[in-house]
Amino acid sequence: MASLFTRRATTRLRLAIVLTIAAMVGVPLFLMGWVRTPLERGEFQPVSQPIPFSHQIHVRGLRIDCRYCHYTVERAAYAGMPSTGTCVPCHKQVWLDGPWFAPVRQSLASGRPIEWNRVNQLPGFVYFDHAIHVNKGVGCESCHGRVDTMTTAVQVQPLTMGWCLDCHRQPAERLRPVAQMTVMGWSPPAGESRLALGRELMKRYHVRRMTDCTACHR
Amino acid sequence: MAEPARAMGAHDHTVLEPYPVSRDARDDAALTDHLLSPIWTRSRAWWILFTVAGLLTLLFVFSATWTIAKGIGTWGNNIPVAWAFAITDFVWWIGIGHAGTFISAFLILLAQRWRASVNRLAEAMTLFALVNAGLFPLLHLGRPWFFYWLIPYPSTTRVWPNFRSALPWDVAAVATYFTVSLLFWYTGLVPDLATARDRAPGRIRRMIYGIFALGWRGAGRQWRQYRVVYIILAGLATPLVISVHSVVSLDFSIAQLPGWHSTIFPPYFVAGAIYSGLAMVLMLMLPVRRIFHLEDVITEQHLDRIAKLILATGLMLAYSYMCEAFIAWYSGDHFERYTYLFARPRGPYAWLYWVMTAANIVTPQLFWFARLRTNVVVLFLASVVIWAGMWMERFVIIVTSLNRDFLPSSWHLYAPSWVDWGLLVGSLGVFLLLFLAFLRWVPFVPVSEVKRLHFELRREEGPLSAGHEPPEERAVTRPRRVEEER
Amino acid sequence: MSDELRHGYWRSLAELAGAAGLREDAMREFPLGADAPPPGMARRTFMKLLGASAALAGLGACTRAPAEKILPYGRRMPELTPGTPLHYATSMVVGGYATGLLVESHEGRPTKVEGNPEHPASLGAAGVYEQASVLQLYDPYRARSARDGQTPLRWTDFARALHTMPGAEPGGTGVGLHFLMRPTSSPLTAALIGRIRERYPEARFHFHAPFDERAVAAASLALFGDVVMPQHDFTRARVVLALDSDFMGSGPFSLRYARDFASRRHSAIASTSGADAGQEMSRLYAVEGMWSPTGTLADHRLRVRAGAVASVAAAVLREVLRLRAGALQAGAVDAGAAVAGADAALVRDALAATAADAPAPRPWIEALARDLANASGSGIVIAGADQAPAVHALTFALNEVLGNVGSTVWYGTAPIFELGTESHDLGALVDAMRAGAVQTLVVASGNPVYDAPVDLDFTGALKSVRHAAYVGMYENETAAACRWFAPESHYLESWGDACAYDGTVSLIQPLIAPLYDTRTVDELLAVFAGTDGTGGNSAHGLLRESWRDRSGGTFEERQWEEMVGRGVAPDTRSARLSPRLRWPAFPPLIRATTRQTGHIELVFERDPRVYDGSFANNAWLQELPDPVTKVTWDNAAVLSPATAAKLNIESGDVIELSLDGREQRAPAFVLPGHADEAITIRLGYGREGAEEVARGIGSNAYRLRTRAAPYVGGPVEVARVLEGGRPLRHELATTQMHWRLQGRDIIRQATIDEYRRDPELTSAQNTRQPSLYDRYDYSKGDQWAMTIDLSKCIGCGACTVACQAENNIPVVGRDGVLKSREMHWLRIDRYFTGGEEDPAAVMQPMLCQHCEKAPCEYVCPVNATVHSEDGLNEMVYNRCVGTRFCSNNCPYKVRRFNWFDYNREIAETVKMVKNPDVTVRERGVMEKCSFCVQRIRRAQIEAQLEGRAVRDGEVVTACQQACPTQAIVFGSYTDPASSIVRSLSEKRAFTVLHELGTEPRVRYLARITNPNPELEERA
Repeated sequence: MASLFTRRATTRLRLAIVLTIAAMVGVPLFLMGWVRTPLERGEFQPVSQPIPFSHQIHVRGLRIDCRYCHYTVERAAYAGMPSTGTCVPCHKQVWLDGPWFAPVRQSLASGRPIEWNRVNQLPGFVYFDHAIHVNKGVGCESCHGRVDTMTTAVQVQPLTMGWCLDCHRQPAERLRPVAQMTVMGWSPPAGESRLALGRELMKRYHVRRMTDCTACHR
Repeated sequence: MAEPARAMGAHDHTVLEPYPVSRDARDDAALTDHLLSPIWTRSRAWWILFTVAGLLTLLFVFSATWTIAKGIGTWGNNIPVAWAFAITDFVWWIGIGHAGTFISAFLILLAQRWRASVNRLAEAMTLFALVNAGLFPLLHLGRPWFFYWLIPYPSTTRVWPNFRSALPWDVAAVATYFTVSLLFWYTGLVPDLATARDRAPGRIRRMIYGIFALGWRGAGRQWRQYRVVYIILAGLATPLVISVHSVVSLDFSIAQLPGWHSTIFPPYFVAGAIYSGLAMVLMLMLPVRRIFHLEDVITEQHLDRIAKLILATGLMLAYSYMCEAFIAWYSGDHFERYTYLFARPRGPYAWLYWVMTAANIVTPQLFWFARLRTNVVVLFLASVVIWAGMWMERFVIIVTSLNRDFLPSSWHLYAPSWVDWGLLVGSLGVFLLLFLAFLRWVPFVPVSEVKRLHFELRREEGPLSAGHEPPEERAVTRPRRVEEER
Repeated sequence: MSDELRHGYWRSLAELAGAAGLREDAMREFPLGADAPPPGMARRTFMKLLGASAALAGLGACTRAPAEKILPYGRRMPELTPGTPLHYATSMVVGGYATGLLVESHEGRPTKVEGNPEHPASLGAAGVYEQASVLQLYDPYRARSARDGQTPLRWTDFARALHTMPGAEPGGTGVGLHFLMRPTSSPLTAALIGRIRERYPEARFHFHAPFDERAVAAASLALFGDVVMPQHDFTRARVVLALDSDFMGSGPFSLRYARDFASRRHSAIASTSGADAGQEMSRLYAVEGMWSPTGTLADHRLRVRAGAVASVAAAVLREVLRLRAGALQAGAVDAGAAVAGADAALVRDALAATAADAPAPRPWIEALARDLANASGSGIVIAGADQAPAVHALTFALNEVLGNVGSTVWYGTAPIFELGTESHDLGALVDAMRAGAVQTLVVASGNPVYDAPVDLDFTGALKSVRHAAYVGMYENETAAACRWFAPESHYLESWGDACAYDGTVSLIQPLIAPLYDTRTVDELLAVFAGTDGTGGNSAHGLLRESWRDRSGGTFEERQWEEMVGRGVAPDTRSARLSPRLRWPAFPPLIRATTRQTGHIELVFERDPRVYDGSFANNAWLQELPDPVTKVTWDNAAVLSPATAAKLNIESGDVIELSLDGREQRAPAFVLPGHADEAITIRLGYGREGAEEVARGIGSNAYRLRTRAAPYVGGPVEVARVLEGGRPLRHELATTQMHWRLQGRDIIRQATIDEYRRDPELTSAQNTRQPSLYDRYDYSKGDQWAMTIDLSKCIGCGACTVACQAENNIPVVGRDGVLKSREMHWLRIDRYFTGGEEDPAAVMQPMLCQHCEKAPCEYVCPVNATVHSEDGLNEMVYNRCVGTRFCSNNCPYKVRRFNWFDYNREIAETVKMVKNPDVTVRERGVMEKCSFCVQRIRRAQIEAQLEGRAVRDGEVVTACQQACPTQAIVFGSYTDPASSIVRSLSEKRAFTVLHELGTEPRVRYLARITNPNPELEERA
């Protein structure tokens, strides 16, 4: 009677068992890792726009303040998107007749808005308010990154709940004087540590740790 | 007292065969063949049953799919009765699951030899019951696709489960219990799978059994390690029998709802669990015993002992019922009193309450009588009644507490939908399907243990007669042969 | 499958108004509004239109699917900050009278209606109709285009078609041209009618509504020789007698009256514990057959069927006069003023005759009369508009004799146009139609085919009219009977005006340009008024014109802007009249009362939810439980336990009511406290028009309602309907099954005297429970709390609808309610105390109690419901997995579960009503009252931006805002000066289920009643 199994059978079986266990542990671990990658969160991925608008040119080159276009950032939940009219004054001189500006011209003619594609996307159940953040000393840069270096705007932060909580639990390190809100690449004046300044700003602006769920979820 | 097993068949119920395995002269080979025969033989009856079970399983799958596709609204649940059938089924199944481990683990630690021939059946029952028990809480979630939020793991939201709630512990408890039971069952199975491998007709089967036998040769070393592992697992499983259902009972007793908020729940639930489990063991064992002619392996002694256990746990349950009612009255609390003294005995579900009480309190009293403890028909009917009665108990606890709580304005009745029924009946199908498969392909009486017991009994009787060396030594002969073959 | 109805409802909604459909509409409307912009309004309309389309495009924001596109405004809108809602003043007209409103608009999308604090009929409150009206705006079943037969028309073509109709030809005299409208108080409409009459001298106008004030008008015309409306000041009333009058629950001024009555009562109760104890508390006597919200608050309620109210009133007047006479002998007062000698005898006989069979215990009448007499000059007798002229006559007389006239009661001109004239008699029109005198009938809104008195057979008469045109919001029964049809604008799309009950002129201004090709009734009239043949004039133009005329040209833009902004025209209240009561006219009036005894009478009532049927297609209202019966999605034949027992009827039995040879089936509902020998049935159900939601719901009682007996009919035959020998059943979807308190301390009540004797009566229920754990420190920052005053709550349900509108609460349909799955975050529990026959009723709004030690929180396995630092019990939908353990462990059962995906299948239009500040919940998650956390957080953010703390009254919850009696107080108790602290510190505050130690943040104020000591034992 021929033997049932070859010599390697045992090894194979052992291997199989080991692999199964490894998979049971490994798959969840992999997934937990995956959701922490920029790829999964959509960071650093250029978003196509109807007009090749370059923040770099406007912010760094022309030194236009963020608030010129995002005009409600200080008083409303939405930062506000520039209405088509905003572009015209300057662009009357340049580009307005250029091929890139077709959408702008159409919008001006029809009064229909230009449809920009969203770059920083929060879920529908998150109620983020720009006004309160910027007025408490959170700079644009803290969430939107060095916009002045972006030819096309990209998301540079995870925008996960954990990421929000990091700041909501320890605001101090992320604060800056409100006046410096739109400054790109801001760093505290020489000799002052970010933390110390932050602690002082927390007092000045009455900044609290905001960890109530309904602060963001309503 | 020759042929006492037969004598048992004849109507002398006063004397019981002292040994849990008949001593009629059979050598091990014969015994093995006898015990393994079911997995080689085909039977039409089996196929018919298997088909029925299959259809019921389909019903379960359909109802489950419907629920997940449409939402919990397809059930009869409402506010105030937000938990009903599904949770009843869950607690019921998990309760049933307890008997298996109880029989094998508890009794092995208590050195109860008689467990030998029944434990595998009981363990299998435990596993299959747990499969069902595991499914219900999952289906019960409003958003089942987020079930993993009940498991503690570092998530990107920085939110953890709420450890003050009983439910995350529930998940842990049931999962652990399932794992340990599975290992315990499988470990016990290995030597028999090896035997099956060696006896299997045809290469394919031998292969399959061979793989699952994990290369068991029956060498002395293997036997020693096997025993150690088995005892350790038994040691692990035993506390789980207590812990799991205690945790399940906390799902209710941590609430402040009259009818749930009770400190006696853990012991009360454990007793009830084993009670219902034993009932189901009998329900399964009696037909199997008859069909496969195992009277000399699963002797009347087994029936007698199990019946006694049922009586014991039944009495504990009765005590719990009384205790609850008394405390409710003695507390003087309006709401407690209303639930226990009005809502249940006189409320809209009163009939269910009384049927339940009768089934669970009165039925076991039969087993004060020795002849009834071994009367197959009585045993079977009684266990069916208890088995159903325990389902009702869970329903009464859950629904009659919820449907009339604190504010009369929110009182409302509950009526199950077809999906609720589909899931309950379907889950029976799932169980039956698995159990039939088990009967068909796995040695459901632990051959090696029975043989060992057989041997030990004889040795205690006196000097060994030839051809009756202990199974180990028989077994060692095999590997030698394998070597030769290589 | 379960809740068919809901699916039927929502799915067909989706089909009817597909996403694309509406976007097109919105876009197509856009140029319409912009190309010919009416002066002074271009910018706003324009903005709104843009807003609407933007809102539509960005709908994702308020639904689950997140938006992928960002749409800036094409042009920047100075007064609009994206994401920040604006409020505009407007008015809603119900029953011809206006109630002032402030409407919240998100990017030009009206989402929520509040009361206008500056408006006399509202004072900031808004009733159920107003609250729910915003859903009607987006109702996908609204008619969308005009038609001639089946061929669709544009409105302008429809207008042209009108001019071709006989009598309406330009230059014609208007012979055979008839208009049928709803009674109106609009000066603009009146002006237009005037113009049309100039142009077409022969044209005739008729006014019809199923509920009107013709009885009052008749009585006042007879007694005063002029049509006047009684006005009341409840803030000064010490004793109030309501004769079948639900003055707090329904009627044009009910919001105001409720507020006034409650405020006086409360100041009395509050002062009890304070220094100046003993301030007089008002006492309310109610005489009614069917429970009304007002009746539930009465100190003494006399259970009398509607037909017998007259006799009770007569008995009271008789008693009062006797007292007066006695006083006269004593020379105390001058009764001569009351009844002049000669008439006295006649009056006395008439009263004797009428009062003969008053079904009221003598002591009751006497005590009441004495009470009224003592409160002479500071009492109010008020009668329900639906009562016979006799009752109104008696009421006028009572107030006169008691000397209330001039102080608490006075008279004002009737705001309703031509009230009391023949033009308000539908019969006249129908006769004309029969006589073939009507060539062209223009029906402007209303629904006569459905609600005209059945014996008039309006439908039949309509067949003899060759040119029948109907303008209404729906393709309803009347539309089906007319060849021409044109859709009417919703009031939130309209310019216009109307009067409040006290005559104050209120402006109606649009919040959004018409969603479809619709016009207002005024614009329709303008077509005939000949200001322009095509009816191209906007109501806006007409309105400004009419105001310029009225102010004699001295009317400036600034005034106009201000008036529109406030929604109220300054000092337009009607003057106080003091007409002399002509006693000789009195006896015949009250003799006219028909005696009805020894048989069962049938009482027709307006429905507290769908009114006369015109709101029947509003799912919010259909699902709102009836204040007392708690029935939803149905109407029922309500009768008392005794009568039911006599007829061997149980709740849910289908019974057949036959009245003058007409039959109608309806399910029975047995209600404790209903008058015996009477059956009350609400009108407005059994609709057969194109309103999908309303169609087939309930039983159409108009089929039994005759011209002669519009409110009380009888004798009515009642028979149980059998099917195969077994009684036919129809299960009524009620939200509350049990009405007994089971001896539980859920509600605390006491009489004012008891309360004065023992102010500590609830002290055992408002102290902290001992605990083994340290208490979390809830003393810093804002700490939100609420009180609900049971002495004020009339159970009207305004809060429930307000909450539904504010918090995007879905509708579950009849099946859902039958399964006890209603989603209302705020429900009103109704309990009866005392015997089944003649109980007292008490209302208890029940919402999340925001327990500091919340049982729901510790059982949630995933931390989806937790506590906030400012004391809110937070429900985090996006974390919830739906174990429903929290609901099981909530002793108040205020948590709601999304059994199905209630929001997936709703139409695009209905999505527009959603509040973007509140998450729309997905299937399988729990939800519950959040104390309107979105409002709290916004207020906190605004305060922070201004670097200050949140002010008292800055955060107002939706329910609090809507409550007419201000029974709900909300605020932070860390602000010592706040109204919530004052309210919490009232001695009678108590927590429900205090013994559980849940430490709720919601406290109830014990119900304090003021029964007449003489009748104490009945109280």
